[in-house]
Amino acid sequence: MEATQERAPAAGESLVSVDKMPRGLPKLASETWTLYVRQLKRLSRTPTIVVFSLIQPLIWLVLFGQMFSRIAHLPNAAQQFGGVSYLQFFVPTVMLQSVLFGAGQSGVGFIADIDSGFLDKLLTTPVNRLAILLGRVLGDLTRMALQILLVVLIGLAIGRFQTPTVSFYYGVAGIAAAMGIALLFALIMTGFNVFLALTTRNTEATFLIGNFLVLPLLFTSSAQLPIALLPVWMQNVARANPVTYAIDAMRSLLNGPAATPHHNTAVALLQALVILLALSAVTLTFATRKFRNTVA
Amino acid sequence: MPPVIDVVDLEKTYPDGSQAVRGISFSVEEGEFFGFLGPNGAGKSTTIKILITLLAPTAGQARVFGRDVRADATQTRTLIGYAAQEVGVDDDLTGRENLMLQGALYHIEPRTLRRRVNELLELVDLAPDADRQAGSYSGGMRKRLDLATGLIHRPQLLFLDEPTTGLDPQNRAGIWSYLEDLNRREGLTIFLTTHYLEEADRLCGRLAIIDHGRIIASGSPASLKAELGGDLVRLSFRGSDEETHAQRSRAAELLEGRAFAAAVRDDGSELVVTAREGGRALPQILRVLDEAQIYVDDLTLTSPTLDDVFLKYTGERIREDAPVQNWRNQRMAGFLRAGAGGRARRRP
Repeated sequence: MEATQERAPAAGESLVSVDKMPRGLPKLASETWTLYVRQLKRLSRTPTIVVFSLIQPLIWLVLFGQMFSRIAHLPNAAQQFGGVSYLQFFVPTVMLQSVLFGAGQSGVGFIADIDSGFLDKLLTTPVNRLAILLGRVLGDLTRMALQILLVVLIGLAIGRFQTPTVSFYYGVAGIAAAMGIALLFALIMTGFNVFLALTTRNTEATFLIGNFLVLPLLFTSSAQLPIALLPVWMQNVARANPVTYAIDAMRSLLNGPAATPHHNTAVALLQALVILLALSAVTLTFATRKFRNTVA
Repeated sequence: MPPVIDVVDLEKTYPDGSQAVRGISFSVEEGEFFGFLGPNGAGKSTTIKILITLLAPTAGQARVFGRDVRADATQTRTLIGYAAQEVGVDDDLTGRENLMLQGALYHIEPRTLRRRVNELLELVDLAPDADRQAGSYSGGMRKRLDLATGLIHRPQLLFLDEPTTGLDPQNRAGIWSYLEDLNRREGLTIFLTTHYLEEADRLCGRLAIIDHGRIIASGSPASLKAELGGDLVRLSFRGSDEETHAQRSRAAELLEGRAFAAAVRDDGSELVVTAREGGRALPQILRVLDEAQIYVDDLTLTSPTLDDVFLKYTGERIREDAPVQNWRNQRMAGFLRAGAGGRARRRP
């Protein structure tokens, strides 16, 4: 015989009430934190991502650093390189390259969450939709910050075996600022990749289109060679390429004012900030709109 | 008290023009186990996505606990739980972390949440594996974890979209008994969609059969089957094609109009007799045929299934094995569509 209204101990009142939930910004912050921690846990449990994202910059630094090592000492070129070794000249390039390729992960991660049904699961909770985007972007920026920090350390380590050794003009502050510029670029690319991913809903397409753009962006900039050593038509392209401004600012911050065309770190930094902030506003707006559309 | 779910003239047309839901109305009362049975592409998932606040309807009303699901989305979300055929579990997190994450997004107070997580891990028999990454779980375990995450905040209404698709029969039966427990012992109202006849038959107290975006029949599984007029007796005869044809025609003449046979139909290979009570009709059918010296070669007695109900209303059988597509890709932008796979939705 069953009593009609008797309920098992697991049943009962809802554990959640709208009145007791935080509201507005505190709610957004707490949910963003929850989802950010999720990203960090995932990162710490897939060390292969970190390890493999290190191998590529290592190869670039060693091979390119060696291949072009004598260019920087050619009689007419030394000045253009700011008097540093090609390896040191090349460190900011590899940093930026790491974020250009690394940002593709953000978009792909979104597709994985859609396909697995995890996104739908999140969306059935009262979570602020923006927290889903923010948690992921902050998680990816953290991953890329780790990657570029390691690039700097690898550059320093390899630099010990050559003369002159690699040393950074403004010390730790310069490194931090250069990382900041690289992460700002990462934000632009993350916005772009999230937009791409949510538009195509396809992992392969996102990787393909994303990576297709990266190499031309890098090669038509001051990333590989000082801009003055490029052919004239390419100099013009490079001046319209935001990568040039990011790289020049990072070079100033790492290698000193002599490393850039203006010989002025403040000018290089200001130019980069204006351009990169404007661009990140554009791509993040597109990404956010596309995301709102997706989850609406 | 308003019904738990109240849907009136609901319609959904996707931007690509496909009409997934074409004006359906139904309601679900507290404590019911209600099901949507229909083939893939019938509009089941679309309806559920509207009810769980993930999709805006084109027209009509959808209310949950008396509140409009669009206008009162946040409130609705605190009251409902959801589990789908795609297992919404993060494989890199442990079972416990998945539950804690979901609970944190409901802002459940940490101590209460920890207790609730343990309680649910016990409920779905995952306590021994709670601290292993979900990626190492079997399909059945991941499904159980997914179900548990949908229950973390003690929802008052649980939505299940094809909850056992892709599971083997043993795991399917396991999930069924959890669901029956939740409904019967805890009084949880459950709305389920399925294209598995057996699942609808076993779990649902009441169901609606849906096809091409319309509800074509509804009622308890027993009453729907009863509408078919009873059991089916299938008779076949021995001999060449002409001989069996002749025997079927004669047998049909003899059985037609008898009190025990509600309907007699020759389907081209068998004679199908519909009988209100198949067990009682059987000896009488045989006696009539025996007296006329028509000898039955083979005979089966079957109770009608929901598939027969579906057949009656649509003229076709439910396709249990049709491919299913992620619903979000339905709304994908036009370009680069080719990579996303074919479309499961049938055109009218």
